[in-house]
Amino acid sequence: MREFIVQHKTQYSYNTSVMVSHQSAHLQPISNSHQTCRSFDLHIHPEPSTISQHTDFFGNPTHIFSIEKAHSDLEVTALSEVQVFNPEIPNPSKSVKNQEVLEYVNNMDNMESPNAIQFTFPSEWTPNNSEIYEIAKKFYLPRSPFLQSTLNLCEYIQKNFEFTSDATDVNTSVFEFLKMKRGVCQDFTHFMLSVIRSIGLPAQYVSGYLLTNPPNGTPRLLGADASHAYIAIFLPDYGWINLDPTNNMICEDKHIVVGYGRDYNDVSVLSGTVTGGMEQKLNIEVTVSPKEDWNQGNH
Amino acid sequence: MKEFFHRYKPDKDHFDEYLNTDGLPRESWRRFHKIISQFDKSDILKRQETIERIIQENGITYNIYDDNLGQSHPWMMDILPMMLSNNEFLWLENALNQRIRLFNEVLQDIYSKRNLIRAGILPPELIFANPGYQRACSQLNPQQNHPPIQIYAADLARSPDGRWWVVSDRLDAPSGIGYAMENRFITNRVMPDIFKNTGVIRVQSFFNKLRESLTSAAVNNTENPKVVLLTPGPANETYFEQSFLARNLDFPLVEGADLTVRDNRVFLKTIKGMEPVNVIWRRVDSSFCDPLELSKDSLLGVPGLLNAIREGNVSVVNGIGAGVLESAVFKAFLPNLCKHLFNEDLMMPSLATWWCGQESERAYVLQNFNKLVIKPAFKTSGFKSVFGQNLSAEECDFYNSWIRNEPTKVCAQEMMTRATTPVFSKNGIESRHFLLRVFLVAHNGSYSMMPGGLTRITNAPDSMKVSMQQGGQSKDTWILASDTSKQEQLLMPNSGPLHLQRNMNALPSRVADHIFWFGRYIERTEHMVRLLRMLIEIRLDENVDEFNYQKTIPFFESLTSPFKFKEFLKSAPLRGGFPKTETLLEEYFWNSNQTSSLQSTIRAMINNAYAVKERMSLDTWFIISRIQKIYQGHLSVEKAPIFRQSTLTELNELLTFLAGINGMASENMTRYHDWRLLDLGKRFERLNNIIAITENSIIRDRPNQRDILYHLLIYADSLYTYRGRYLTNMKMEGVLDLLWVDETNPRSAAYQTNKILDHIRNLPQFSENRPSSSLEKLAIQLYSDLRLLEIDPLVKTIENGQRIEIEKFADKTLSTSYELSEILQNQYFAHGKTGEFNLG
Repeated sequence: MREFIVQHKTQYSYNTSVMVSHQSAHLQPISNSHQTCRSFDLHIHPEPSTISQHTDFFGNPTHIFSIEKAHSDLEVTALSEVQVFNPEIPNPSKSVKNQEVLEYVNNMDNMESPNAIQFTFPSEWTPNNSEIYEIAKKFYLPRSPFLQSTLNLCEYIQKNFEFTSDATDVNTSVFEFLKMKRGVCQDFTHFMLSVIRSIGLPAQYVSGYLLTNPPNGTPRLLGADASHAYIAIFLPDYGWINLDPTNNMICEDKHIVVGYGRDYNDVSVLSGTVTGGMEQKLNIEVTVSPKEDWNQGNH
Repeated sequence: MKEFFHRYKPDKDHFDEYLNTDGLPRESWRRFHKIISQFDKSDILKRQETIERIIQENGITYNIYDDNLGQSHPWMMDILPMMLSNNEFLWLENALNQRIRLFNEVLQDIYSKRNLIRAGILPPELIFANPGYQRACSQLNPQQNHPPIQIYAADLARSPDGRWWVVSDRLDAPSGIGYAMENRFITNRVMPDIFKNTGVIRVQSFFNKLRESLTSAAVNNTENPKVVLLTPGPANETYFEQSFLARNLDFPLVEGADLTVRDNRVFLKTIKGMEPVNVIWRRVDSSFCDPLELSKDSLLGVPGLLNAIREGNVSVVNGIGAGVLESAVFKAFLPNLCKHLFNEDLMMPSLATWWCGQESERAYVLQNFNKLVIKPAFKTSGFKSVFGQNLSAEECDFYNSWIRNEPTKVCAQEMMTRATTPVFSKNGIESRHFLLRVFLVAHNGSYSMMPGGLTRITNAPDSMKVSMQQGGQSKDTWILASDTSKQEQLLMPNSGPLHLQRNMNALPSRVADHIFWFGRYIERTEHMVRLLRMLIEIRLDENVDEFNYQKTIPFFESLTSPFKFKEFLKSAPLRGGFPKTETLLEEYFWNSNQTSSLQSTIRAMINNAYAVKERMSLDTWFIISRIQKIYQGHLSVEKAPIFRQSTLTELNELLTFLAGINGMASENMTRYHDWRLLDLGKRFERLNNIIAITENSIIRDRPNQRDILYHLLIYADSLYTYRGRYLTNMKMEGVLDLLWVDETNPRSAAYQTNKILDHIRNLPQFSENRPSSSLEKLAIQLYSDLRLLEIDPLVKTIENGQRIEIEKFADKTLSTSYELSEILQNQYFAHGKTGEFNLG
């Protein structure tokens, strides 16, 4: 088990006053069998007129707030303390075969199937076409183990796609990504999901963070980290297991989950509607720190 | 008429509503048939024409998508009604009650525990792969006191054996009630004699139930709950009926921008401030209702609405997300669902439907392709239903392979031979296929069906397709009481004691904005017409010579601007040594791309009128639709020569219509905020125009100054008054006094500023006890500047041939007027200034 402090700060500044702002936030890390969110503090400036919390369709804690006085800056800071458990990693080559996973999730008599089945369909950001389906058929042979196939696909993606922040933006489709073969974690994740779901296998989008280590001897810099995106696949005899296609690895205890969904849209960090404002500038600062470092001030 | 009906020979393959298989009128038709047989054909023709006239006069329209706003299409109604016996009506009501109960039950399940998926009754694709499934609406408000479906509509068709089938269910935001109501109003006017003697059940009680149903949806038994009708706006295809319903049910018609969520409650923005809203009857599709949690790229909805529902502060009818069950594919599962949930057989059958996501069903569809209609399983854009039999071999291959590749997205429905009904036409009575749309509303624990409905008929005898988008016709629908004496009275119910009140519902800010601009454009149109008429008259009456040409300059300058006119002169073609000004005139007359042309001004006036239609009297609307007709006529004739007597006739006619609108406003509008804002718009516009045109006319001395003054007085409709005072002594001082300073002249600038001040003092103020607002101060200044104006120095101070004091005063007045109008708009219609957009 490891303990983390995550600070996620989002700042908007507008060129003219915003009169009314309604925002929806996915910032509070979920608590489940992988991790526990020990404490969560959401600080919003200016002070919101209303703030309420509910659990969304996918079980993620969601905050909705509104600011009803004129403002030209909005700052939302989330501070979370999360315990991440070291998961038991199943043997990939002995995991359930693709064909069996398909049969399992389509049989509604199985407890988890009515939930898992919804992550087998394409979504707005994870569509597929024949090209994607052909890739899927190569990696997901009916008698291959699901986890092993997925790791193979991760490796293929890591070898053939380049991680770079200047090629894509939030509106890049998986088809464009496939053509350019360059993008960020969100693109890697959406593409991975498109491939897996084109076969009808269950996979979720995961929004979260990853602990990175500062170069030897240098202190951890505040705000140097970022939100991360990766996937979770469903293994019938195990449950959901998280994999990071960008870093070609099974998530162990360095990944912190905020929430799950079909794609980015379901768990976008902060989305909202403002009246006024016209143009906006956005600044995001994320710090992921082991709890002991944070307490010592070694961010 | 007898011979007319004798020649009616419907195809024997269908059920016919009028004749049975022996060729005799059916029971439901007998009373009507007996009466109408005694009429002359010409009488019926005349009544059919009356129908068309009423539709035109009342502006009953249906918007065709992709058309300009001003080009909505008139509604069409056939004089022959659709008739159903009361027994048939009662059977349908009962069967549809079960169907709606079923839909409610399914909705409650799929938006909470989803046991139907767990139980294997609903394939998961139907929910999870359905774009209509709104995940954000899951467990939105478990304690709501109203069912998800409060208002229901269905399109029904009758098969050859006489049974009724549901072709489609309307669950999200059903339309048509208003058109059905309007059809009944027309019937009442066109054939009261026939109607009375046929024993038709009245529909009024249904509207009372509709109103009660919506009111009762309010949470926590709010006293006097505020219900609003949320419209997607004037461009929506059924906007007419939305404004019609709002007016007749007395609910404000609002757009998303009129509402705001504060403190997790919904408010209506009005010129008096925020008014809490308890019930939203939405005509906006589910996915567009809240950009915060639903479709993010829609501005039709209200940000934060879902959370307001979640917090239990507002009710939305029908429940957001209900539209998911409109997908054709559900029809295949309804019988099973009914058995599973109620242990009952489904009474009201739907068209047989096969979902290709199931193996044996898919095989059936592929085998029987030619006999089926291929449809998208879910409501998605980009793919329309096709008739298997109409496809070419190539298209067949395409659909076949598509069904194999994406079977879950496709379903197929049987092609039913629908019943026919007689339709009146100039050539006789023809038979047409039809669909009957029926309406039910939740009332006291069950659903009441409208004793009537909206019958839509195909536009060609051999067509099965019913589409108002493609110019189809409609029919009133009569339910015949078994006992003719039992007719309900067309009266409002006795609904408790009446509390006298003098105020109307507070004006939504957006509507206020449109009313203000409607006023401005009425006056601007009049200004344009008066100028154009004068310029055309001068050209028609007189030859062009230096003298006459000089005379028109100030008025051309007022039509464009002194600067633009100068620019025009630089490159103007010449004729007989003088600039060919008719090109300019045509530009300002015809060119609808030119923002200050007459055409654009009229269009802007009509657009603003449309936006406030539900607040306008029918008589006013009648005039608007006449103007619209002339305006559309102009658009269809490409640039006819402008110097014609007929142009003048048209302009004079237009002026009469404008006077009519003004007359309606001053004689018939309650002196409330509506009227004040409309008049304010007019006063601002008239003030600016009279100042500018007078300035242009007298800024310098021209050789024919007398004539210019004469025409100026005609423009301002003040010649008669002037002559009464000064006979034919045409002097600048007199004209200036009459047109600027004389408060008794309703065309003068001083008169306008006096009215502006009066209106501003009577608008709702947010802070009544403060010293004068900047608004009031500016208005006082504007007024007193004009009242205290010394005329002599203005006229006599001349520098370089220019009356500079005139120019100074005009500039100052115009800029103060502009500033005042801006402050007014910011204070009362503020929302219009700020756009909404989405982040992240």
